[in-house]
Amino acid sequence: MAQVFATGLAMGCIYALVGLSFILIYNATHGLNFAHGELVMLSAFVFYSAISTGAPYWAAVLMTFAAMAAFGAVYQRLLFFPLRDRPMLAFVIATIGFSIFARNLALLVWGPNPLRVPSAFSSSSVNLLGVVLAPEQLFIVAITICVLVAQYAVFFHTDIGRRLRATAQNVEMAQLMGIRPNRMIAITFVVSAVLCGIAGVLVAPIFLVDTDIGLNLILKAFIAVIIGGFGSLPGAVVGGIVVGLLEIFVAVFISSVYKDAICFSLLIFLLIVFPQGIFGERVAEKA
Amino acid sequence: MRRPAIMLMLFVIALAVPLVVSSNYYLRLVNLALVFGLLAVSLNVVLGYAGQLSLGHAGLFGIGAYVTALMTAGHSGVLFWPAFLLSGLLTGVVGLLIGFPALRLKGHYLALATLGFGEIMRNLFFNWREVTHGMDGIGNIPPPSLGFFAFTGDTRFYYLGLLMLAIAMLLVYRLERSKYGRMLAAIRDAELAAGVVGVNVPRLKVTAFFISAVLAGCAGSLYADLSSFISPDVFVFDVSAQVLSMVLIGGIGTTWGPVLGAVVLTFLPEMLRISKSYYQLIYGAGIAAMIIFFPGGLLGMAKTCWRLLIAKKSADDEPYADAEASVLPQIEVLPRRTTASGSALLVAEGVTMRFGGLVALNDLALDVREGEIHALIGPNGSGKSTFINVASGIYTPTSGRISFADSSITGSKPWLIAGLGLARTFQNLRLFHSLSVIENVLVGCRTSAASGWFGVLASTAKARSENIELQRMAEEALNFVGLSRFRDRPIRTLPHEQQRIVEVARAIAMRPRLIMLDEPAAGMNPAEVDRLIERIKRLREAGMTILLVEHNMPLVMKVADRITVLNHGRKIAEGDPSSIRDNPEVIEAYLGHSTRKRLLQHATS
Repeated sequence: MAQVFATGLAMGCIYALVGLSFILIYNATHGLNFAHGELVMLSAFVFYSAISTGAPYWAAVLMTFAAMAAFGAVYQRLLFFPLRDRPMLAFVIATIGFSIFARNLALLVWGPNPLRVPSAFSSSSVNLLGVVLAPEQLFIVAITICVLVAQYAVFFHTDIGRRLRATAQNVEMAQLMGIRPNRMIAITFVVSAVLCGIAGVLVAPIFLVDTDIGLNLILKAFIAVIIGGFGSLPGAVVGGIVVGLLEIFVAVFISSVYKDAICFSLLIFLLIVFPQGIFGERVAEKA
Repeated sequence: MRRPAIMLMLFVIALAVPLVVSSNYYLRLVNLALVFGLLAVSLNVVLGYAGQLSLGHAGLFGIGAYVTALMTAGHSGVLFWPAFLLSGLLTGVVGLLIGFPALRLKGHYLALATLGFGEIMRNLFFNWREVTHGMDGIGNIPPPSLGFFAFTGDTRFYYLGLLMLAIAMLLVYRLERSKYGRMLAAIRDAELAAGVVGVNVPRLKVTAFFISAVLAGCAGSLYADLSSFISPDVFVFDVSAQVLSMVLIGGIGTTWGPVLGAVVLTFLPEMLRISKSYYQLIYGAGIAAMIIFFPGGLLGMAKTCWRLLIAKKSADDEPYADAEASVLPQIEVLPRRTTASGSALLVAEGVTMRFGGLVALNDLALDVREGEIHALIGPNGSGKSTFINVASGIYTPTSGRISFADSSITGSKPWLIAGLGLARTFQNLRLFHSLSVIENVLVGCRTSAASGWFGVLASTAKARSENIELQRMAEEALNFVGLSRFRDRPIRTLPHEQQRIVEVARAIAMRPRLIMLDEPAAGMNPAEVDRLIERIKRLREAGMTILLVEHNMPLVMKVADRITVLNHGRKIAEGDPSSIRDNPEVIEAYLGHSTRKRLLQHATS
């Protein structure tokens, strides 16, 4: 039971990271980045390649983050920037196009066979208060907590954080206050991509890395942000953990083949009866 | 004259396709393009016309395919016809089930809900083995048969598919040009305004989903017959994305675009003749590039080229010539309403509207009498616009009662209130920006002998005469405000003043008893305000009662019969213009206590 819980919590943390970085982009641009799962997939593959060169673990991690940061900037410039004044739908479709592109690019570069990334830990289990847990799971939870604390500190206690939040709330007003919105949006994409990099590095050892991991992650992240409330950062985290736990408990106690169908039914149900989520934005249109 | 000729040519070409395409392989591709063309047409109904993003069309497509497969597999091909109908109907019912959440969800919420629906269906197709046989799929689906004549082989199937697609396109074409098409466009462009103009928003949205789902189900049914074997891997998110790309690459919101996109995307991988991954790579990048560089799709691109090369200049590109035409043309007045002048038409009693802790309206009592011009003034944030929103059904008041023409409208839906004869305009323009001037006005028009969906799709005599009547009403309204010169202009090419007047015309076209104007003079210069005063007086002469919310005091003082002053959601004064002008409380509300004192000192000294 505790093991099931720990597995769900670890998965939930991954969903929380993906959901959080997804919502960062949504808040800054009101765009839904459907290629977000592919960012995680790409970083997992990059991490695999970095490890394969024989580089030490920490160096591989840094290389992945650097690659993702650069990627985030380019992605923003190529995909978001030309569409910034167009309806939401345009960006959605462009990112769907990019996700197809990225999956097939990965297929060509890394091949169709799932890849195994070695674990950073020598032991395969740790005993914590009488419960046997995988070290990766503890690691994931610990890293996620660190990321959230760092994120909070940057957003609420630094000048750049205030500028980022100001841009997310009102681009025009921020611009009048001397903030460069395009630069802030670029920074948001970079931060978001690095968060995806963290998620990729964390999932690579526990999953087999293949081109389909992105789709599963983004679908769960969608449920997470809906549960938490669209646009809310703490909501994305809480929602992610709820989805991780829900998924594993449904799989263990109800039906493992229908777990996705059950999760998505819940998504639709929630959208209809409780669209604002736990911490969410108001849904009604203003007159 | 050109159009029928082009249609005839296309028809002949379409008939000749199987004669020209000799290879069975290519004919199979043509048939696939027909099926996906139908699916793309179906998506275009919700996405292009109603503006609702669906990412779950593969699920609907799959339902249609499985219904037909389960009914006919291993049986006679004669069963195809009932299976085809049932596929369409059953998928339509599922479409209704998606349509209902769509009422409450907009934009990204709907996108995610439909995505979730698609995933649920995929999960079911894969795992509900008792019915769908999971990955094994269902085979042995017979070709459609009339008993004595079976549609075996790709050539015969081609004509069947072509017929179905042509019927679907004809119906969708009629839908787009009909009053329902305009209403859907209105919902797409400005949902709130559509409701206020009398469009039953939820019913129309659900109907759009229903029609789209029926077409998707029919496409699925045809697909099952074409391939005679179906397995769940065809009905996954990638297919939803592919159909979406077809609509976009062809040209969203057009009749031919989706079919063009389906043909291109079906043939492109075969033409490129490279490995699947490389193709997918190009395809993915192509979608992104297309949306960035050619938002109108191939059809939009073709139109732009046409305009540049051959047609030189279209009407849209003409510079705006005579915006400053100052003389109001002589116009025919609307049919006069019999008015019992002086009796209360709109009555609000004890209306309170709270937003969280903010009290926007506090125990407000107000009556607007038939035939008068009643002005509602007050400082910013005093609750004027809130009152209009409450009266037009956009907000439900926290407490209190509102009645219009002796029937209660408290908490009633905007389109029902509009139907009673209560019209309004918006402070920030809410026009249907993709429509022309006259189409904007047409959305407001209603006839007493309205034809239904069947009439419109079958293009009955009644529906056609209704359309003529609607056109006449819209032109009358445009004549009334003096904008008939601009009737076919795209609305966004008009200057601000004219756009405001189009909103007024749209309200007039509803033949309302009461029209509420929310700051009609905002952003107008003095000359424009003078013209506006003329128009407001004319409205009253035509038999309409007017509730005017306005900050422009010269305007209010010139036209109003009675003025109500609000401050912090309360009524602080009511009376004729001269008494309001001298009311100390009103002066204080506008200018503050100390200024009022100074003014008084100034006056006495």
